[in-house]
Amino acid sequence: MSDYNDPFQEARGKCPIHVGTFDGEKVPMILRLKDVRTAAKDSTTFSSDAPLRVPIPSEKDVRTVRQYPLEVDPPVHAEYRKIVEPFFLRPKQPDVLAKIHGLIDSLLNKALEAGSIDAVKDFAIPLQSYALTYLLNVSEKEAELWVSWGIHVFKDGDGKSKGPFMEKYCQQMFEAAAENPGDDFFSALNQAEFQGRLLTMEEKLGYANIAFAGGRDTIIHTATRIIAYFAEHPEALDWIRENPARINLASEEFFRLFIPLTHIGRVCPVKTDVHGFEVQAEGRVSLCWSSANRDPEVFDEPNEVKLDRKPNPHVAFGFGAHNCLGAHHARAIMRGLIKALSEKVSDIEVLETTELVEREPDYTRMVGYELLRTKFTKLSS
Amino acid sequence: MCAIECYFSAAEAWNESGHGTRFGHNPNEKPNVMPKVTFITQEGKSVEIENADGCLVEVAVEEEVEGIAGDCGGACSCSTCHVYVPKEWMDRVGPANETEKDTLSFNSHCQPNSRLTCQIEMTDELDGLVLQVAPND
Repeated sequence: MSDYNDPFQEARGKCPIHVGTFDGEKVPMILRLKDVRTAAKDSTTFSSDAPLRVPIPSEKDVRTVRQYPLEVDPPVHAEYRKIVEPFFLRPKQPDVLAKIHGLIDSLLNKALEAGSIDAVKDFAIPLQSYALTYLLNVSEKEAELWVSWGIHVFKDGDGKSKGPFMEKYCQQMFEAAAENPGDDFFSALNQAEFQGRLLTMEEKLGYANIAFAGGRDTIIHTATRIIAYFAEHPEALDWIRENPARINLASEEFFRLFIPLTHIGRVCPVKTDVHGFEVQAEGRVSLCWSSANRDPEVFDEPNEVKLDRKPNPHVAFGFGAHNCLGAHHARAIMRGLIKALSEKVSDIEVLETTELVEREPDYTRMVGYELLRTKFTKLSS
Repeated sequence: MCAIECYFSAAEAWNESGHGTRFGHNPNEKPNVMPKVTFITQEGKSVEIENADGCLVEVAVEEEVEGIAGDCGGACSCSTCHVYVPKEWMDRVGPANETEKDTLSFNSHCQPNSRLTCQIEMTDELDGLVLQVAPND
């Protein structure tokens, strides 16, 4: 079982940045919380107007479209974001929340009936896939295909990106929605206007791309790491059970510590000094969310799970204008998961694990599981 | 167990379950103190909440006060529970703590009288408090 090691701990203690190498480029990774927040708010110096290059490493080999609204800057960013925001607020609606809770209950009941399950393949992937149908307001049947895309659409274990297939699928969904418009995400984008014109197919595909890719591995890994945590700490489930009002702060602590997304990039339009490192024009910097979330200047005992941590000003959902559109969805799912585990499960036994480790030349970081075979024991009523 | 013990156990369980004391179920509550808080929304609507208790963001979210989302559940990470405290209440409400100040410093609508309601616990001393909901960032 993993501990909660922080690969940036030593570097962050010595210097505000750690220079990493990605795609053959030297990239200063901003490590401390205040510096990360400051950079995230400064879209003039640190721009997102960089198609395919905002994620680090870049995604130029796995997609062809700019992601909207992630890869545009203010002020047009706000206009782009406003178009899809109603869908990303859907998890706040009681009927949508009830569907998410129903889905979690159903998956957990199956897990309790089975001898053991792979919590990645049999729980977290279907959880993410079916919950996304509620967000996008499409038929649950669509999730049957999405489940087959695995943990990460762009870089799943078989080494083959599903990116091109996903783009083709999304184009078909937009075409089908044009034939039979409904209240779904694809129909809404077909009808949406940006600055007095309809969106282009490239823009619509860019929205769909991030809707499918952005919230996939992040939700899957967070869910499995929460399950693994409760397996190791059954007393924490008792503690939640004693007072379910503790779920919200506990969720935030899991988001802080288990953030699957190590960092995200920004591009400097002109030559820029980043904490002593000179970034050339069009060069990148990294906003290292995972390091900022362990900053000991802000978080007491940052490598420890403190389920009642408050305040907990983490940046697991980013910061500033580009803060995660799917944060409401992620919170609804993880709060629902913790609630269901506390109500239905007395004990979780981990039988087998294969960790998923991000390996870069300058660091390795455990981000989740490829396999998490678990046995759930029902809570006696 | 005698009847009075049963009553206290039930009340404790109710409070522990997170339902709080806002509905008068806490036998330890002082009978004459009913702290009230009023939120003035951006649209100028006044939302009066009687028997306010506990963390103010939870009070506001439960009453669905427009403009108080409290997305992070009170962790002080999102600043979606931002309010302005009137001058006459500043002493009693108190200044923002260091983490809160830092979070607020990035908010474009931050003012010297800004507070995040997730960092304010309602007390009897704050009975009658009026807060102006800040614009969304």
